[in-house]
Amino acid sequence: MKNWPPEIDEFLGRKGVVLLIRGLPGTGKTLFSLTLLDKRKNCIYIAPKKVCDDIRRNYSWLQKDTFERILVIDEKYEYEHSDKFGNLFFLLPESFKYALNLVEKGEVDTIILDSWHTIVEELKYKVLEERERREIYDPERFFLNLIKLSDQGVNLIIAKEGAQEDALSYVADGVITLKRWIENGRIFRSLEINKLRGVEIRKSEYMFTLKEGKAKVVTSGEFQHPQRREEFKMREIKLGFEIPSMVFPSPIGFHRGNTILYDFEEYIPREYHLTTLMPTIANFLKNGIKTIVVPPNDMDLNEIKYQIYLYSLEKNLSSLKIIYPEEEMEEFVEFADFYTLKDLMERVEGCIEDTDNMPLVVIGYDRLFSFLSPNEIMQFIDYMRNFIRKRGGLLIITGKVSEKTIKRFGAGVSDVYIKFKNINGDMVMYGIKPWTRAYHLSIASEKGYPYTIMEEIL
Amino acid sequence: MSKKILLVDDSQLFYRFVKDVLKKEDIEIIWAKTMKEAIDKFKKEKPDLTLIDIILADTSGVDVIRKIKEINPDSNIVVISGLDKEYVIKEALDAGATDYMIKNTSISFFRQKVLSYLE
Repeated sequence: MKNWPPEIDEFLGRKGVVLLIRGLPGTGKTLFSLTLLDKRKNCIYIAPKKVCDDIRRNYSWLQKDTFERILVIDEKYEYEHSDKFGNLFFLLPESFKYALNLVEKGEVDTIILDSWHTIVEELKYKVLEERERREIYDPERFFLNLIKLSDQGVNLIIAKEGAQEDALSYVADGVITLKRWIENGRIFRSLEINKLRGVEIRKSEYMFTLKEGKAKVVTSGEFQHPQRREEFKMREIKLGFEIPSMVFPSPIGFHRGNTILYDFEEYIPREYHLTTLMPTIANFLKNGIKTIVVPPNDMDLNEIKYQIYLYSLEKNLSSLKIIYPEEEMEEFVEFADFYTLKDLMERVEGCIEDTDNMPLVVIGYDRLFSFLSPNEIMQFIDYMRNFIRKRGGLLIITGKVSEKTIKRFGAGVSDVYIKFKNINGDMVMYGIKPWTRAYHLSIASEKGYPYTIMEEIL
Repeated sequence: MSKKILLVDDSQLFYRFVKDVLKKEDIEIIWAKTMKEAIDKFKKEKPDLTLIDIILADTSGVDVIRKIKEINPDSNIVVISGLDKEYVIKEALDAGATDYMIKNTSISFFRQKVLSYLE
């Protein structure tokens, strides 16, 4: 199953396991269970009437046959008597008897129960006159019978409110906890694997999103060199229109004269930094627009050449100037004395002719730390900001150094401020200016060049 | 009869470097900056060795290797590039390059390597 922790698939591939999905209200237990139901055709879902009605009303994305696999726990169903499960068959509600018929036919091997708390609470207040039915719905008995059912090879997935340890979590073979937290108005979700007996847990915490009503696990992954190279697909940069970032979704828009600050946490892998930066650079170059790069630390000359190769920028090199502190034989590399602010400013400015319309300037401020003082770096940024504003171009300030003075200064002078973080191995970005929700980042190269995939975390 | 090397690189500085390093040898250096120039000169001059950079003015060196190999599958091609990523090296070798050398290698190593292909 795609976008799903492989550990859970491996676990549910076994027979007679009990998986507990727990979490506080709003953490996505029902959507998680429904996504499982929709993807795994061998599952049946049992819940109280209220929950089932709500699903029928609100979850139109479920496939038609999925709705047929949703049962109301205490409704009457036409079932056939079965000896396969012994006395247990008679000690369970009719919805279960019907489900067990399907198990016997081999159509189903997993029963999803959503949720333990609502079932127990709802049934507690139900008028159950018959002694037999009272026994069936007694929480302790019901729980014991479910465990016996798993002993007979039926998989059980039980959603349960709360994240505390209790009898259910001790008895279950697998426990996962869904979490949700909010930082500055941005929602984050994670799935913690607490235990999965018999399965090697490769990653204990996965990020996930509930975008479009489905639970989708997102993982950042590593960069893969493209199987085949393809021409980078450019978008025209036109007067009177937003400048395409080629990376970020709305509402992050780049406009002529803007200063953009990319604030990368130190733990972001280099490939993520480059794949965020390069599509904008490649697009400017493909549009034939002069592009000057004072490369960040993640971009040494070897890496720059690799990026030129990856994005097939050979034909556009006449528009590119890399300002570098070392003498190089490449025509697109311009030496500058980085120890002298004046020389650096003059070199950058000197690369842009009067005829160069709306140029792109990228300043990797982290590289400058080895040469200039923070005050000089700020002076340089401010100078370039004014220069770019006058020329109607775009200035991108990027780097990975946690130098608060520079960051605060950059935040103050920038029109767009984007933050990049590494959360347990998953890359996340969000706009601080303008404010945006958080997006999970992964990189791919199926198009024939590297690009970023963004998943809004909802 | 003097040997011929076709150098496919858009860097004039590197052309000068190659000429300088091999000036005492009986070797003619033919310089091409683009794919078209490289193909034309390869067909006309029939060089004993072709040195190709990966980043050219109009295309990648890998594409030039493929074209040259179509014209003469037995030609000796050595990639000489500042780019040392293993994926790119593999692509160049898969395309038909005989060897891959990093540009900022020592002069004596470069000279020795080039001469070994002309023996």
